[in-house]
Amino acid sequence: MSALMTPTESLPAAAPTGAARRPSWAARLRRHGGIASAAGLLVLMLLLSLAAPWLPIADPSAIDLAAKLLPPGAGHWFGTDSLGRDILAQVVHGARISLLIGVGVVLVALAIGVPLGLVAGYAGGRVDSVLMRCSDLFLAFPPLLLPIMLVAMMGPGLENAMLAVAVSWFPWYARIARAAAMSIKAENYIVSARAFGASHARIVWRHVLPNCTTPIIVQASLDFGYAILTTASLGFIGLGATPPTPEWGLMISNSRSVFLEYWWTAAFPGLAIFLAVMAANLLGDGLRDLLDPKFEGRLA
Amino acid sequence: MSEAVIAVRGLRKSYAGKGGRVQALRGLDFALPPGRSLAIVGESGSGKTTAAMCIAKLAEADAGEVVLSGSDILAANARQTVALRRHFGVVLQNPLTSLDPRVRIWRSVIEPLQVHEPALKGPELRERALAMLARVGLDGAMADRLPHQLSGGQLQRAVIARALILQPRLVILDEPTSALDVSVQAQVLNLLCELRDEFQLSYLFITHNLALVEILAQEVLVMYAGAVVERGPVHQVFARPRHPYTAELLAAVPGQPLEPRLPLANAPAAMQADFTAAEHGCPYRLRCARAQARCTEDAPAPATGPRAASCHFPLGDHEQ
Amino acid sequence: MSGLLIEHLQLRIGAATPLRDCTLQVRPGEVVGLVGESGSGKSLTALACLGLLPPQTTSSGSIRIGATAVLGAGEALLRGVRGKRLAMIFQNPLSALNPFFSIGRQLLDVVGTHFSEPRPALLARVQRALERVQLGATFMQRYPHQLSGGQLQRAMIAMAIACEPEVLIADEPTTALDVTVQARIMRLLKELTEQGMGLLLISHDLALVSQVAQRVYVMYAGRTVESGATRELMASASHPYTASLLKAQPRLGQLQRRLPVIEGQVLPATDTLPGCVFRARCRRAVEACARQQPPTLQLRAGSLVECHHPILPALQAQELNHV
Repeated sequence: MSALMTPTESLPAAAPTGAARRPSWAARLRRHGGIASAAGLLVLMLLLSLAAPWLPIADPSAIDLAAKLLPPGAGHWFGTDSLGRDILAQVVHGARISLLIGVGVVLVALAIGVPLGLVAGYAGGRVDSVLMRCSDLFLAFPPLLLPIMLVAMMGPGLENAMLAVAVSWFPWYARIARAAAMSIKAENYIVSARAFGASHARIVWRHVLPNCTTPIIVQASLDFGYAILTTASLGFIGLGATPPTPEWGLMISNSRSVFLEYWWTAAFPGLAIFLAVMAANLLGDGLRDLLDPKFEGRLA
Repeated sequence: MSEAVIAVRGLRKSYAGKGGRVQALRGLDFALPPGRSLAIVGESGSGKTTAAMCIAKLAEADAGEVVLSGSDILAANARQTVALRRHFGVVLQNPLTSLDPRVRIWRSVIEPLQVHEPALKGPELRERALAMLARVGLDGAMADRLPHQLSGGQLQRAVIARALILQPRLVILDEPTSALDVSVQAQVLNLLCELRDEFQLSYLFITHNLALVEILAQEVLVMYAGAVVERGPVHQVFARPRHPYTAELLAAVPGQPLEPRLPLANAPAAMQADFTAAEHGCPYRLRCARAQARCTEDAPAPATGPRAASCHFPLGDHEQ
Repeated sequence: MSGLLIEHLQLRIGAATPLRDCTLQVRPGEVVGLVGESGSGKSLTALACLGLLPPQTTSSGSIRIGATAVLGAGEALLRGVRGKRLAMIFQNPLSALNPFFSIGRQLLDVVGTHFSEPRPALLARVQRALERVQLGATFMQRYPHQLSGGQLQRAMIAMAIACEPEVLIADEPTTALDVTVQARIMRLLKELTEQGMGLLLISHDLALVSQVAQRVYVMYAGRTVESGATRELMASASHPYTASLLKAQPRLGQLQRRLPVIEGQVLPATDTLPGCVFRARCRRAVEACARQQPPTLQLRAGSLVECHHPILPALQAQELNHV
């Protein structure tokens, strides 16, 4: 937007209204349609998965060769797979694993990348160069190759797959945090804080970090979905979850040879991945708005 | 006690520029007795903001001393520096960005207390915040708001409150009202006057608006291309400027007739060119209508003493 | 009737009425000042003239440049007006110029939009524009980041006058500039009007406007509350707000320990109470001020004021001290 849209006065909507107390969290949540439905969806999936053992669904690992590859119908709402296991049960039990993967990978990547980026961006100079070159090493690899290499070294298994993905992803968070730290560092409130003697640690923790959450949250919510997809891909090539774990990616992998005729074996786990990833994206958008101190609950 | 609130000696700063090193500050000296205020005026690039940043140790000076409460802050180590910082407050130009947008006003105001008096707890901190906010004219309802909910004038008051919360004797003000409307500016300036009288403060007031100088300061330093070109009591300097640049600044103040008393110089080169010019001779010569050969050969003597101008051909009484 | 004429312009955005009633006129060759603080609606007035308002704005009243009505006009008509008959320059020249292209290229774009002439003729126009703003031909190849604040503002003025508009609107053109550069730009703007172009100078700085403007309009809370010849207005304002503004402005050479302030805050745009917009902050408010919109009075030839209790010229000396 050029200067045409930035006259010297702000338009009324943007002028400080001196309004009364900000609407409460609950009120803002209610007014933002997107985040409410996304959060609702994710919460529903989580509850279902946690309640799985007590739900009136079949045992996901119960093999029944007589009932294999049955289409969705009365006894098996999502059909059965090539070993006769109920797909609905597998999807529901698998939800817990997939959601855990999504959250876990992102948290680990954040935990490594954000502090690194903040320190690099805030300190600048040689510290910045050294830290960024280290993280560049990891960026140099194609996105899936590094996790594959790491898993190949560490051995297959879900935990290893998650760790491998997280370790290869942290540079993105480092970059985002670094860019945010660099621009925030120059702001007047940071200079003022230094002027009254706040230590660097205090400034980074209390002022830089909270103000750079927005881009990080957006990336994290997108990555929640990618984490599920990537781990599913690893599972697909046999480097992730091991059978009989009902992980969605593994389910799709197992259905490779039959899904053209027996569509339900891939469709339902695929749909589950789709819903989870979409909900995560909506949640990310909503979180970004919700955490913006200027957002007062107006629908995006 | 006649010990100066702040004494600056030989402050110098340069940085790497396109054509070599640029001397942003070439030897600044002054001393502020208690209760007296000093204004540093000049245009952008004159070095006045660099001076303020170096004095507050927010930028690294190349050389010089800044003595506050008996110690030189520039020579102090990290711990001593933090201790010395409680003796001065800082108010910067743009109130909209001077407070953390995520922190409520009262918490921003007492943050210096958290750093310097960690023994204080929540309720007492809040009490001190409310008291100070009331003193600057912000009522209790403002205390819990976020910066974007306050107007520019209200924000600047909050910034002033934060600068004074540790009861310093010196406040460094860098263009504190440039971003404010005229009527709001008047309110903030009045507030600054009242606070100065009530708390016996000294102000180091950086501005390009000469009309404000008389309200807040008794002494003035005029800077150009990193050097002090004239200094003295405000009324004397403004009524009878000796340096041509001072006269040019005075003539340009809105409200003065557009046709100045002196013939205006040739279209001014950007001040950057004057920095290299200042390596030999007078930095102002490229712009000065009165420049002569001598101005290119020798640098004029620096402006030292209570009333001085750094010029080979200062304006005489008959020329003003 | 040529020049710019705005009559009873009102703008509404949602529940807010940021512009309640604006009336002003700029004749050819005249410099007119529009003075107001944040929230007065002065910048919106300028945007309305060029049809640059946000889409949800409803407007009433009229804006005319020459005989052409601009308010509510279609895009095609507005495109013919913008730049060619009515041009605007803004506060921050660095953000108004595209950093990617050279000054010459941007100027050529502007003239090329309005004149379908061969390139040499367009170049001649561009060079003439640069000459008028006292920038040499070398500036054609330079890029915005290579120019100083004053030079950038001149470049922007060159872009605005390249098509020789009838009226130029300058919205806080010198706020971001140093005071000596400001004086030069003001002088330049005044010279440009000597060739018949009208100038609407918008600013919050009454002293600045008084240097070049022949007439001044004062805005408060979306209304033009006073207008008149600059010298008269500065010497003896009729509207209490104008008088307060004059007193609140720090002046050189005046020993002032305290500046008289205007208590209170600007009326929010969403306020719909009857009566005068300035009543809450006015020391001369009388009963009528809270009940009715003040009448528009003509106290002197060529000057108008909207007030129930204006400062009358005869009583100037004493009254100014009370306000």
